[in-house]
Amino acid sequence: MLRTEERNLLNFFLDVDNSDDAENQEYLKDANIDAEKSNKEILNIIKKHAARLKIDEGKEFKKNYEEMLNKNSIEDGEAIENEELLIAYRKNKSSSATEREEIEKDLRKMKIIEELKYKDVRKGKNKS
Amino acid sequence: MLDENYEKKQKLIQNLFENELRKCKKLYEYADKTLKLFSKGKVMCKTGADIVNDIVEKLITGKRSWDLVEYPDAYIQIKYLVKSETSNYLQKEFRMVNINDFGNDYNDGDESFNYNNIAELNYTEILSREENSELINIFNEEMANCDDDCQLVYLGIKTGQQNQEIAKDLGLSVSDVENIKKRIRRKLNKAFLFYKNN
Repeated sequence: MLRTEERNLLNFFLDVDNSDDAENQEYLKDANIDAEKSNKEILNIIKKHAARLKIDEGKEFKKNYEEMLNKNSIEDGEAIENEELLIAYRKNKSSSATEREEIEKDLRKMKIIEELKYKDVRKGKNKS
Repeated sequence: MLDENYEKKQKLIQNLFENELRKCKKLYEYADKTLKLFSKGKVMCKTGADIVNDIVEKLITGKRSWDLVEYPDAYIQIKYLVKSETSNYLQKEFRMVNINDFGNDYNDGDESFNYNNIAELNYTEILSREENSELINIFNEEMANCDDDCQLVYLGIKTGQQNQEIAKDLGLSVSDVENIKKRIRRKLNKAFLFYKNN
Protein backbone atom coordinates (compact mmCIF):
# COMPACT_ATOMS: atom_id res chain seq x y z
CA MET A 1 0.00 0.00 0.00
CA LEU A 2 1.33 3.38 -0.89
CA ARG A 3 1.75 5.96 1.78
CA THR A 4 -0.70 8.84 1.99
CA GLU A 5 1.96 11.24 0.66
CA GLU A 6 2.55 9.13 -2.41
CA ARG A 7 -1.16 8.76 -3.03
CA ASN A 8 -1.67 12.54 -2.77
CA LEU A 9 1.15 13.08 -5.23
CA LEU A 10 -0.24 10.63 -7.77
CA ASN A 11 -3.71 12.13 -7.42
CA PHE A 12 -2.23 15.56 -8.13
CA PHE A 13 -0.29 14.20 -11.11
CA LEU A 14 -3.41 12.57 -12.58
CA ASP A 15 -5.74 15.48 -11.88
CA VAL A 16 -6.02 16.63 -15.49
CA ASP A 17 -9.26 18.49 -14.81
CA ASN A 18 -7.35 21.10 -12.83
CA SER A 19 -4.42 21.40 -15.19
CA ASP A 20 -4.40 24.35 -17.59
CA ASP A 21 -4.52 24.18 -21.37
CA ALA A 22 -0.85 25.01 -21.87
CA GLU A 23 0.28 22.16 -19.58
CA ASN A 24 -2.13 19.82 -21.31
CA GLN A 25 -0.94 20.85 -24.78
CA GLU A 26 2.68 20.44 -23.75
CA TYR A 27 2.06 16.96 -22.38
CA LEU A 28 0.27 15.80 -25.54
CA LYS A 29 3.04 17.19 -27.73
CA ASP A 30 5.72 15.40 -25.68
CA ALA A 31 3.67 12.18 -25.75
CA ASN A 32 3.21 12.45 -29.55
CA ILE A 33 -0.56 12.63 -29.35
CA ASP A 34 -2.34 14.65 -32.03
CA ALA A 35 -5.72 15.39 -30.43
CA GLU A 36 -7.34 16.79 -33.59
CA LYS A 37 -6.35 13.71 -35.58
CA SER A 38 -7.55 11.38 -32.83
CA ASN A 39 -10.88 13.19 -32.66
CA LYS A 40 -11.34 12.77 -36.41
CA GLU A 41 -10.60 9.05 -36.11
CA ILE A 42 -13.16 8.68 -33.34
CA LEU A 43 -15.80 10.60 -35.31
CA ASN A 44 -15.10 8.31 -38.26
CA ILE A 45 -15.69 5.26 -36.07
CA ILE A 46 -19.02 6.73 -34.97
CA LYS A 47 -20.05 7.49 -38.58
CA LYS A 48 -19.00 4.05 -39.81
CA HIS A 49 -20.93 2.39 -37.04
CA ALA A 50 -24.05 4.45 -37.78
CA ALA A 51 -23.74 3.54 -41.48
CA ARG A 52 -23.33 -0.14 -40.61
CA LEU A 53 -26.50 0.03 -38.53
CA LYS A 54 -28.42 1.62 -41.40
CA ILE A 55 -27.25 -1.14 -43.74
CA ASP A 56 -28.25 -3.81 -41.23
CA GLU A 57 -31.62 -2.10 -40.82
CA GLY A 58 -32.09 -2.15 -44.60
CA LYS A 59 -31.15 -5.82 -44.80
CA GLU A 60 -33.53 -6.68 -41.99
CA PHE A 61 -36.29 -4.64 -43.63
CA LYS A 62 -35.78 -6.50 -46.93
CA LYS A 63 -35.73 -9.87 -45.17
CA ASN A 64 -38.94 -9.11 -43.27
CA TYR A 65 -40.56 -7.78 -46.43
CA GLU A 66 -39.73 -10.92 -48.40
CA GLU A 67 -40.86 -13.18 -45.57
CA MET A 68 -44.18 -11.37 -45.23
CA LEU A 69 -44.68 -11.22 -48.99
CA ASN A 70 -44.40 -14.99 -49.21
CA LYS A 71 -46.82 -15.75 -46.43
CA ASN A 72 -49.30 -12.86 -46.42
CA SER A 73 -52.48 -12.48 -48.35
CA ILE A 74 -55.30 -10.02 -47.88
CA GLU A 75 -58.52 -11.53 -46.68
CA ASP A 76 -61.87 -9.92 -47.36
CA GLY A 77 -62.54 -9.14 -43.73
CA GLU A 78 -59.06 -7.80 -42.95
CA ALA A 79 -58.90 -4.15 -41.96
CA ILE A 80 -57.16 -1.88 -44.46
CA GLU A 81 -56.44 1.42 -42.78
CA ASN A 82 -54.69 3.25 -45.59
CA GLU A 83 -57.21 5.06 -47.79
CA GLU A 84 -55.33 4.50 -51.06
CA LEU A 85 -54.97 0.82 -50.26
CA LEU A 86 -58.69 0.59 -49.61
CA ILE A 87 -59.60 2.20 -52.96
CA ALA A 88 -57.20 -0.12 -54.80
CA TYR A 89 -58.63 -3.07 -52.94
CA ARG A 90 -62.21 -2.18 -53.96
CA LYS A 91 -61.10 -1.63 -57.54
CA ASN A 92 -59.47 -5.02 -57.43
CA LYS A 93 -62.78 -6.69 -56.61
CA SER A 94 -64.31 -5.57 -59.92
CA SER A 95 -61.38 -6.31 -62.29
CA SER A 96 -60.54 -9.27 -64.49
CA ALA A 97 -58.75 -12.29 -63.00
CA THR A 98 -55.28 -11.35 -64.32
CA GLU A 99 -55.65 -7.74 -63.31
CA ARG A 100 -56.92 -8.79 -59.93
CA GLU A 101 -53.89 -10.99 -59.41
CA GLU A 102 -51.52 -8.14 -60.29
CA ILE A 103 -53.37 -5.65 -58.11
CA GLU A 104 -53.52 -8.18 -55.30
CA LYS A 105 -49.76 -8.60 -55.52
CA ASP A 106 -49.13 -4.84 -55.45
CA LEU A 107 -51.58 -4.41 -52.65
CA ARG A 108 -49.81 -7.00 -50.59
CA LYS A 109 -46.45 -5.34 -51.20
CA MET A 110 -47.82 -1.92 -50.25
CA LYS A 111 -49.44 -3.25 -47.15
CA ILE A 112 -46.26 -4.98 -46.01
CA ILE A 113 -44.20 -1.87 -46.63
CA GLU A 114 -46.77 0.21 -44.72
CA GLU A 115 -46.52 -2.18 -41.79
CA LEU A 116 -42.74 -2.40 -41.81
CA LYS A 117 -42.35 1.37 -42.09
CA TYR A 118 -43.66 1.74 -38.58
CA LYS A 119 -41.66 -1.10 -37.18
CA ASP A 120 -38.21 -0.50 -35.80
CA VAL A 121 -36.51 -3.50 -37.35
CA ARG A 122 -33.41 -3.01 -35.21
CA LYS A 123 -35.27 -3.58 -32.00
CA GLY A 124 -38.26 -5.47 -33.28
CA LYS A 125 -40.54 -2.86 -31.75
CA ASN A 126 -43.12 -0.55 -33.24
CA LYS A 127 -41.95 3.01 -33.89
CA SER A 128 -44.10 5.62 -32.25
CA MET B 1 -27.63 -5.91 -28.68
CA LEU B 2 -28.02 -2.14 -28.71
CA ASP B 3 -30.14 -0.62 -26.01
CA GLU B 4 -32.98 1.85 -26.48
CA ASN B 5 -30.73 4.81 -25.55
CA TYR B 6 -28.24 3.96 -28.26
CA GLU B 7 -28.94 7.07 -30.35
CA LYS B 8 -28.77 9.37 -27.35
CA LYS B 9 -25.42 7.89 -26.33
CA GLN B 10 -24.06 8.21 -29.84
CA LYS B 11 -25.09 11.87 -29.96
CA LEU B 12 -23.46 12.59 -26.59
CA ILE B 13 -20.18 11.03 -27.71
CA GLN B 14 -20.32 12.70 -31.10
CA ASN B 15 -20.93 16.08 -29.51
CA LEU B 16 -17.96 15.61 -27.19
CA PHE B 17 -15.52 14.79 -29.99
CA GLU B 18 -16.95 17.35 -32.42
CA ASN B 19 -17.31 20.35 -30.15
CA GLU B 20 -15.26 19.87 -26.98
CA LEU B 21 -11.66 19.60 -28.08
CA ARG B 22 -10.40 20.97 -24.76
CA LYS B 23 -12.08 18.18 -22.81
CA CYS B 24 -10.90 15.59 -25.33
CA LYS B 25 -7.31 16.72 -24.86
CA LYS B 26 -7.67 16.22 -21.13
CA LEU B 27 -9.08 12.76 -21.72
CA TYR B 28 -6.12 11.85 -23.92
CA GLU B 29 -3.65 13.08 -21.31
CA TYR B 30 -5.41 11.22 -18.51
CA ALA B 31 -5.59 8.00 -20.53
CA ASP B 32 -1.96 8.30 -21.61
CA LYS B 33 -0.72 8.83 -18.08
CA THR B 34 -2.81 5.90 -16.87
CA LEU B 35 -1.50 3.64 -19.61
CA LYS B 36 2.10 4.60 -18.93
CA LEU B 37 1.66 4.28 -15.17
CA PHE B 38 0.33 0.74 -15.53
CA SER B 39 2.76 -0.35 -18.21
CA LYS B 40 5.90 -0.73 -16.09
CA GLY B 41 8.14 0.42 -18.91
CA LYS B 42 6.86 -2.01 -21.53
CA VAL B 43 7.05 -0.75 -25.10
CA MET B 44 3.50 -0.28 -26.29
CA CYS B 45 2.05 0.31 -29.69
CA LYS B 46 -0.84 2.23 -28.15
CA THR B 47 -1.14 5.70 -26.66
CA GLY B 48 -3.79 7.14 -24.39
CA ALA B 49 -5.64 8.34 -27.50
CA ASP B 50 -5.95 4.73 -28.68
CA ILE B 51 -7.37 3.72 -25.31
CA VAL B 52 -10.01 6.46 -25.60
CA ASN B 53 -10.69 5.31 -29.15
CA ASP B 54 -11.24 1.71 -27.93
CA ILE B 55 -13.61 2.87 -25.19
CA VAL B 56 -15.72 4.86 -27.65
CA GLU B 57 -15.92 1.91 -30.02
CA LYS B 58 -17.07 -0.38 -27.21
CA LEU B 59 -19.62 2.15 -25.97
CA ILE B 60 -21.23 2.67 -29.36
CA THR B 61 -21.27 -1.03 -30.19
CA GLY B 62 -22.79 -1.86 -26.81
CA LYS B 63 -19.81 -3.94 -25.61
CA ARG B 64 -19.54 -1.67 -22.63
CA SER B 65 -22.60 -0.67 -20.70
CA TRP B 66 -23.36 2.96 -19.88
CA ASP B 67 -25.86 4.03 -17.27
CA LEU B 68 -27.11 7.39 -18.56
CA VAL B 69 -28.87 8.16 -15.30
CA GLU B 70 -25.71 7.84 -13.25
CA TYR B 71 -23.34 9.18 -15.92
CA PRO B 72 -25.18 11.58 -18.23
CA ASP B 73 -21.88 13.20 -19.30
CA ALA B 74 -19.89 11.39 -22.00
CA TYR B 75 -16.61 12.90 -20.78
CA ILE B 76 -17.10 11.58 -17.26
CA GLN B 77 -18.25 8.18 -18.51
CA ILE B 78 -15.23 7.72 -20.79
CA LYS B 79 -12.84 8.96 -18.12
CA TYR B 80 -14.42 6.54 -15.67
CA LEU B 81 -13.70 3.63 -18.03
CA VAL B 82 -10.06 4.51 -18.74
CA LYS B 83 -8.61 2.45 -15.89
CA SER B 84 -10.45 -0.76 -16.72
CA GLU B 85 -9.84 -0.41 -20.46
CA THR B 86 -6.12 0.12 -19.78
CA SER B 87 -5.98 -2.91 -17.49
CA ASN B 88 -7.81 -4.97 -20.04
CA TYR B 89 -5.44 -3.93 -22.83
CA LEU B 90 -2.31 -4.62 -20.79
CA GLN B 91 -3.67 -7.95 -19.63
CA LYS B 92 -4.31 -9.01 -23.21
CA GLU B 93 -1.10 -7.59 -24.61
CA PHE B 94 1.42 -8.37 -21.90
CA ARG B 95 -0.43 -10.64 -19.44
CA MET B 96 0.10 -8.02 -16.79
CA VAL B 97 -2.01 -6.11 -14.24
CA ASN B 98 -3.77 -9.28 -13.26
CA ILE B 99 -7.44 -8.42 -13.30
CA ASN B 100 -8.27 -11.63 -11.42
CA ASP B 101 -6.98 -9.85 -8.37
CA PHE B 102 -9.82 -7.35 -8.62
CA GLY B 103 -12.83 -9.56 -9.32
CA ASN B 104 -13.87 -13.16 -9.69
CA ASP B 105 -15.54 -13.08 -13.06
CA TYR B 106 -12.74 -12.11 -15.41
CA ASN B 107 -12.78 -14.37 -18.43
CA ASP B 108 -9.38 -14.08 -20.10
CA GLY B 109 -10.06 -11.11 -22.34
CA ASP B 110 -13.50 -12.30 -23.36
CA GLU B 111 -15.39 -9.40 -24.93
CA SER B 112 -18.47 -10.35 -22.95
CA PHE B 113 -16.64 -9.66 -19.69
CA ASN B 114 -18.36 -7.02 -17.59
CA TYR B 115 -15.68 -4.35 -17.70
CA ASN B 116 -17.62 -2.05 -15.43
CA ASN B 117 -17.05 -4.32 -12.45
CA ILE B 118 -13.43 -3.28 -12.35
CA ALA B 119 -13.89 0.38 -13.18
CA GLU B 120 -13.05 1.30 -9.62
CA LEU B 121 -9.52 -0.15 -9.69
CA ASN B 122 -7.36 1.61 -7.20
CA TYR B 123 -4.29 3.15 -8.81
CA THR B 124 -2.30 3.28 -5.67
CA GLU B 125 -2.82 -0.41 -4.94
CA ILE B 126 -1.81 -1.41 -8.44
CA LEU B 127 1.19 0.85 -8.29
CA SER B 128 2.38 -0.49 -4.96
CA ARG B 129 1.76 -4.05 -6.12
CA GLU B 130 3.74 -3.38 -9.26
CA GLU B 131 6.47 -1.63 -7.28
CA ASN B 132 6.01 1.53 -9.24
CA SER B 133 6.98 3.76 -6.36
CA GLU B 134 10.24 4.21 -8.25
CA LEU B 135 8.31 6.90 -10.09
CA ILE B 136 7.72 8.74 -6.82
CA ASN B 137 11.47 8.79 -6.22
CA ILE B 138 11.99 10.26 -9.68
CA PHE B 139 9.44 12.97 -8.91
CA ASN B 140 11.17 13.71 -5.63
CA GLU B 141 14.57 13.94 -7.31
CA GLU B 142 13.17 16.24 -9.98
CA MET B 143 11.70 18.54 -7.36
CA ALA B 144 14.87 18.57 -5.26
CA ASN B 145 16.42 20.91 -7.84
CA CYS B 146 13.60 23.47 -7.70
CA ASP B 147 13.46 26.78 -5.87
CA ASP B 148 12.21 26.98 -2.28
CA ASP B 149 8.62 28.01 -3.11
CA CYS B 150 8.27 25.10 -5.50
CA GLN B 151 9.61 22.63 -2.97
CA LEU B 152 7.36 23.90 -0.20
CA VAL B 153 4.23 23.78 -2.37
CA TYR B 154 5.28 20.29 -3.50
CA LEU B 155 5.45 19.30 0.16
CA GLY B 156 1.97 20.77 0.68
CA ILE B 157 0.64 18.71 -2.23
CA LYS B 158 2.11 15.54 -0.74
CA THR B 159 0.58 16.21 2.65
CA GLY B 160 -2.80 16.77 1.01
CA GLN B 161 -3.14 20.48 1.80
CA GLN B 162 -5.62 22.63 -0.12
CA ASN B 163 -4.41 25.72 -2.02
CA GLN B 164 -5.71 28.07 0.68
CA GLU B 165 -3.86 26.18 3.41
CA ILE B 166 -0.61 26.14 1.47
CA ALA B 167 -0.98 29.86 0.69
CA LYS B 168 -1.59 30.68 4.36
CA ASP B 169 1.34 28.58 5.57
CA LEU B 170 3.76 30.06 3.05
CA GLY B 171 2.47 33.62 3.12
CA LEU B 172 1.58 33.53 -0.57
CA SER B 173 -1.62 34.33 -2.45
CA VAL B 174 -3.81 31.49 -3.69
CA SER B 175 -3.08 32.45 -7.29
CA ASP B 176 0.66 32.26 -6.54
CA VAL B 177 0.13 28.72 -5.27
CA GLU B 178 -1.89 27.85 -8.36
CA ASN B 179 0.90 29.16 -10.60
CA ILE B 180 3.54 27.24 -8.69
CA LYS B 181 1.40 24.09 -8.99
CA LYS B 182 1.35 24.56 -12.75
CA ARG B 183 5.13 24.71 -12.78
CA ILE B 184 5.30 21.59 -10.62
CA ARG B 185 2.89 19.67 -12.83
CA ARG B 186 4.91 20.62 -15.90
CA LYS B 187 8.09 19.36 -14.27
CA LEU B 188 6.44 16.13 -13.18
CA ASN B 189 5.02 15.59 -16.67
CA LYS B 190 8.43 16.06 -18.26
CA ALA B 191 10.13 13.78 -15.73
CA PHE B 192 7.38 11.18 -16.14
CA LEU B 193 7.61 11.04 -19.94
CA PHE B 194 11.42 11.02 -19.82
CA TYR B 195 11.34 8.14 -17.34
CA LYS B 196 8.75 6.16 -19.33
CA ASN B 197 10.42 6.74 -22.69
CA ASN B 198 13.94 5.80 -21.61
